[in-house]
Parts: sequence; C-alpha cells; structure tokens
Amino acid sequence: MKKGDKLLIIVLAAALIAGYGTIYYRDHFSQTRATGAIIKVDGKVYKTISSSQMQSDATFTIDIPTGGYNVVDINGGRIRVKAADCRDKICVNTGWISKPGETIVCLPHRLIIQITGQAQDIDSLSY
Amino acid sequence: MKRKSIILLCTASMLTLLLFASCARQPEKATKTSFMMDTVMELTAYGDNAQKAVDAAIDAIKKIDKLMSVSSQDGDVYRINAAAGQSPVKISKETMYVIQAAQHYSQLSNGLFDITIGPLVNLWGIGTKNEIPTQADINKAKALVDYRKFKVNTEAGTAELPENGMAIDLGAIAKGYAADVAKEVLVRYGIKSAVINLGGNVVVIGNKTDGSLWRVGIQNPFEPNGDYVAVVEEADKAVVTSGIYERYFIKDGKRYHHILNPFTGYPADNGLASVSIISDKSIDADALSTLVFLLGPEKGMELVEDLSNIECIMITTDKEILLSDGLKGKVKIVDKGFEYEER
Repeated sequence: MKKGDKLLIIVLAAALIAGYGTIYYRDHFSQTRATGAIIKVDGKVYKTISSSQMQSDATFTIDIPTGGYNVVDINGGRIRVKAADCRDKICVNTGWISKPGETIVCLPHRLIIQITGQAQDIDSLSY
Repeated sequence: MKRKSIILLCTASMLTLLLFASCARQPEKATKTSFMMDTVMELTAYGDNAQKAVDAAIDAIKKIDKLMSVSSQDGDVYRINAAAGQSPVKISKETMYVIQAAQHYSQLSNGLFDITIGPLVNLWGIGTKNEIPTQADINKAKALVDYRKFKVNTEAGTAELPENGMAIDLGAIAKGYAADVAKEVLVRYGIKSAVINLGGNVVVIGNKTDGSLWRVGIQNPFEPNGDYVAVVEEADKAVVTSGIYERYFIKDGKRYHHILNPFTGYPADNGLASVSIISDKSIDADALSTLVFLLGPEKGMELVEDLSNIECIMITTDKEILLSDGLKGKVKIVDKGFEYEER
C-alpha cells in the first residue's frame, strides 16, 4: 500500500464517521430537554428564549408591525402576555404557560408564543 | 498495487453513496403557518412537491375565507347578508355546497344548529364585547333566526334572506370545508402524508412517513392551549373540537362562550366543556361538533351513535370523559385528572 492510499482511507473514514455521527446526533440527541420559548409574529420568529433566559425575570414589549403591542412577562420558567391593546385580550386571559407545547395566541396581532423543548408526543392538536 | 487502489476507491465511494442515501431517505417536508378565517392555520406535508402543495392549499383556503367570511365585502356571505330583505344573491358553487351542508344540519336538528344564527352572533360579539345583551335585544335577535326562511335556489345558484336584519353565519362549518379542500389540493399534488390544522380542525392524510398512525391530541378544556387530555390515533380522518374555552368572557363568575343556542338565545349551558368529532370529512366533523355540543351529553351521544362513521369524545365540566361506542379502547386518556369509566 502506498502512502497516498493510506491517507485516502484515513480521510474517507474520517469523513464517513463525521457524516454518520452528525446524522446520528441529529436524530437522537439534538432534541433539547430543557424548556425555552419561541415568539413568532406573523409566522416569522421574533425572538427565541433559551431555557436559562426563561429562569430569569424579564419584561419586554413587542411592537406589532401592523400596529399595537403585547407586553411579555418572563418569570421563573413561565411566560405570559401581561398586557396588550388587542380587541379580544385572549392572549392576556390565557395567563402563564410553562409546559412544552403550551401556546399563547394573539390572533389580532398574529402573535404566537410557544413553550419549546422536549418533543411532544402528538402530531397535532384538536381544540 | 494499482488494483488495490481501485478497489479501495470503489469501496470508499460506495460507502459515501450510502451516507448520502441515508440522508435522502428523509422525505421532503414543508410546513406553513398562516393567519386566516380568524384563526391560526398550520399545514405540514411530506413527499415530493410538499412545498408547492402546501402553498397551493393555503391559496385555496384564502379563496374560501374571502367567499365565506362575514366581513369580506366581495364575499358571498357578506353579499347575502347585505341584501337581506331585498333580493336574491348569485353565489359561487363552493358557497352553495357549504350552505347546503349547513341547511342539512339545520334540518337534521330542527334548527338547534341554524345557519341563520348571524343576528345572535353579532349581538353577543363573543371575543370582542364582554357584556351580556339585554333580554329585549336577545328576543329581537332570536326572532330573526330561522333557517326555514332562508331561500336557496340551487338551479339559479342564488340564496336569499327574506327579512331585513337576518344574517347567515358559516363560522361553525366553513373551516371544516376549508380543511377538506386543503386535503383535496394536497392529494392532487401527490401528497400521501400530511397534517392540516385549521385552528384546531385537524385533518390527517394517510399515515406518518414511518407508516404509523397520526397522534392527535384532544385539548384540555381547562388548561392553556397545548395541554391535551387524550390522544386519538388515526389515518385519513378529520378531528374537530368545539369547546367553551376558545372564545368567551366571564361576568359575575359565569362563563359566556361562543356556542350559542338559537332557542334560548344564550350560550349552551348543559354540562359539556368540549365535544370532539371524528369523521371522514371535516365539514361534517365541524358542523357536528357544534350541533352535538348544543344537544348536550345524552342527546348528543344518541345522535352520534345513530350516524355511521361518526365518533365522538365529550368532556364535561365535571372533568368526565365520554366516548362513543366505536372509540372505546381506541383513545388513550393521558391526563389522570379526568374521570373515565369503561361502560
């Protein structure tokens, strides 16, 4: 065997291991266990909140591009819409959410806040 | 030596190909979220053309929204209501189909489900107003609700409300129809595996890509959206839920929700917190979830058992779960806080 052959084997083997490794990781480990949150406005991600950020206290205001606002409150792993100038206040009335999959929706402002983390056991929700 | 290199190269490239093959095994997936028909919609499709298929399905729903929303001025429903007491209105085939389905359920229930519920819906304005209307106003609105007066001429393709102030509302059925149409569009694009969720109206197409059944959660009526009490496993079915928790307000400790009883003029108050219907077509599941809710636990379940290929999950305000016969043993209750007795 020539030196070049050996090198080729090593390079290819490394590439293969790296490739399979990535796929294996993606399929088996990348679902984070911790709970964070994702905020979307009109289908676009406005902000992602990590699990550590969820543990600290924070209050911020989301200015809705089409007009209006929602004030979001984070406290000890929970998140809520504290105040909003939408017409139905369904988002405010929902109160705190903290478990993966729980969702706050403000339809008039096209705002969605969802708790992320552990993969849910269902494919869709009928409500 | 040379031959060895060639063998090595061949083996290496085969292994590499295998790697790519294992990547390609994942079918194309497309998801799109959209805000229409006063709700959040999410469509997810798997397979070739998934993205195109989902885009086309969203476009189709947009058209239905325009035709059947009470507030879109060029739409059929808006025009019918605007011409109440004046003249018949020429409408599209699609709206005619939905109106006929709604009339069918209005007749089936002798008006407990009533397509002409508009005046009561507007009066209560659940979700926008937070006040109980006066009894005089409720009586006035109630008097305008009567599906038997709504004139539908299928040959001429027209619909007419004969009295001023009358109004139809397809809110209890249009989303169900839209989900059926979305399914048709996806299937036309060759999609064999998909989930359509139009504000809680769920339609599953085929099986999951791994061949297993879709798992559809049933919302816990007493917790935020996303908490489910039960899981239904199905393929090629529609699951639609109506509940007291979607649109409501609370006044003096009493809950006023959006499922209005045209006979009393008030929100249904019969011990039910939610009704989920499972059927082949979403339009039926949508209309029946409202109708069965209005009928209440006993009469509602009787109707479900009389109809073929219709199943039902009821959750009472006492946190009891009731299943139709066809579902017994097929539904997993995952929330221990709810009572379920096998009967």
